[in-house]
Amino acid sequence: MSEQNTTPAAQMQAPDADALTHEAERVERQTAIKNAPVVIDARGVGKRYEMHRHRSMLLQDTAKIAFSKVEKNYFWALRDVNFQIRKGESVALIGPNGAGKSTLLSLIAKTVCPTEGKIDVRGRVSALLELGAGFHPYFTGRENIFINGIVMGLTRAQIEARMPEIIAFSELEPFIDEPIQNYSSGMLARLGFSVAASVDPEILIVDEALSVGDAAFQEKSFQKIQEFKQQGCTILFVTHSLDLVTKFCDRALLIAQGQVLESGPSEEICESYKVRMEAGTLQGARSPHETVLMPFWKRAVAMGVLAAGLGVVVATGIHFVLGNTAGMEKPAAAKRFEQGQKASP
Amino acid sequence: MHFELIEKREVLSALVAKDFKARYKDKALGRLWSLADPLVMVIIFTIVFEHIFKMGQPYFPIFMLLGLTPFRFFTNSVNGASLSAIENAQLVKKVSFPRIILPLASVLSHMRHFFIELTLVAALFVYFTGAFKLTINLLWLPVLFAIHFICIIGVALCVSALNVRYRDTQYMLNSVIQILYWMTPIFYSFSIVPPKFAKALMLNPMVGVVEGYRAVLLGGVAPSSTLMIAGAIVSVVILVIGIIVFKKYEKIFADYL
Repeated sequence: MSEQNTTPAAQMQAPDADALTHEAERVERQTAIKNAPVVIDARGVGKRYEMHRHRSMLLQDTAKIAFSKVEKNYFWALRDVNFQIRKGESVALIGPNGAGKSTLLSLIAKTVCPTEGKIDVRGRVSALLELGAGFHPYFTGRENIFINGIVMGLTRAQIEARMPEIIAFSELEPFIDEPIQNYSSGMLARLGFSVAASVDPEILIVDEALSVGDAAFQEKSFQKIQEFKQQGCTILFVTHSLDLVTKFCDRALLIAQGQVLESGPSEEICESYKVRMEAGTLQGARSPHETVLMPFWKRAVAMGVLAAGLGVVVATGIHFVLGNTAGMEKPAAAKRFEQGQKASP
Repeated sequence: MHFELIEKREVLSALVAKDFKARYKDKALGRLWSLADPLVMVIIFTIVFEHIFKMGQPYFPIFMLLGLTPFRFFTNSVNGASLSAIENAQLVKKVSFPRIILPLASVLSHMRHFFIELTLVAALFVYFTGAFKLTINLLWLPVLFAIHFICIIGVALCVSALNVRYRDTQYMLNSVIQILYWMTPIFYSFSIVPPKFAKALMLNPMVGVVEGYRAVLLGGVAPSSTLMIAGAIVSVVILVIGIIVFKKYEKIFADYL
């Protein structure tokens, strides 16, 4: 802005008037949001993942249980998260990689259940992170629009009505009846976005995944998101582009190590994020893991099972290999051999 | 949950159609392929059991198919359901919908195959005129199908959820199905089973179902009440276990995919 307005005249008038209306719009928006109902309410939310989770069930585990002190290792991707988002707000989630942003989005989209706490989401959520969810390579673009749309909550009739609009938006008209296994990745992204945008959501989740497609299509999809914002749709934005955050979002949440560190107007938070990043004080993932010790009874049972198994093996070995075979039934061949010897003079 | 399921029935039907169509897409013979397997088996086993072992079972091809087709419905559904969540991992991770739709879609898609395979049975009934008995006992068919279906759904729910958490399930399932295959009267009749095995065999609900279909369609008599009641009780128990197991694991689907 400052570079453009180097002539004194322009500096005096045009930007002022522009800034004023802009400021007025902003204030109006702020008050509207302040009075709007809360649509996302997170209270003490935590999500814990089990580390080292590919455990098998049978013998391997018995030995593991008997001899290891640790039963489970947990990693808290999010812990003690509290925030509220009101209807119509655009909120950015920013933070370093591994901070827990995507986990938070999955919790809001309800694909993942929180380990503790409660998260209330009111309204139809459409996530642009689910670009192409349920796409099947064998089916044509048109068939995939159907499946994808239905999965995302539209009815068959609604999709039929919106079909021309979806195809037009994707600009894939000539290929729409081709199986999508022949599509390029850019074409797939276009198709996915076009369906996702036709769902008219109440809460829209936009992930980094959006930044696919060429510049023209990116511009077009951004316009579409802006349209949603103007229609009063609540928007959650995850991006590493701070410019986009300050330009587009009313508010930002700074997330690191599974916690919301700061929440406030997007300019302030972005500034603080930059400062913290430069100072190197932000870390992504939470390092302390929670460890659950193996309870004594489990170890005792496992030891017992192992001992019993070992006992059986050893006993059978002694019985057959080293043991006294006098009392045992002799094999039929041996009997026949002995009889044959007796019979012959 | 049930209300949500009704709300999402379009998702269910879309997934059924997808599962069904994906199997035959780009195949020149299309769904005729689902007849190929049972057709080959009926020819081979008729030669082996009728012409080599000389079992002397009247209408052996129909007799055998009435065991094989319902059992194939069971196996294919259960196998399909065990993979349903894994195959649709993208969907599970990104969209929220009742997870129970996944195994249900798999079972319903295989139900369509089952009905296609039944045309083979119908064709044989046309060929062997006199085999089919048109009696009032045909009214038992819906009851038998209900037991059949409940049993399949119960096992499908169980394995689809367990397989997400413990992938061993899939391998274990193969062995269990092999055992069940011979514990179901497909090539033999339940009446020739020695009494000491009969009680154990009755724990397999497919015994009552298969014997029931045969009694009604080939014999024109009512199905044996002992077998049917045993089958119904075991099926319902399996369904309850399936629902409990599924409820326990459905929350963590996205965590393990």
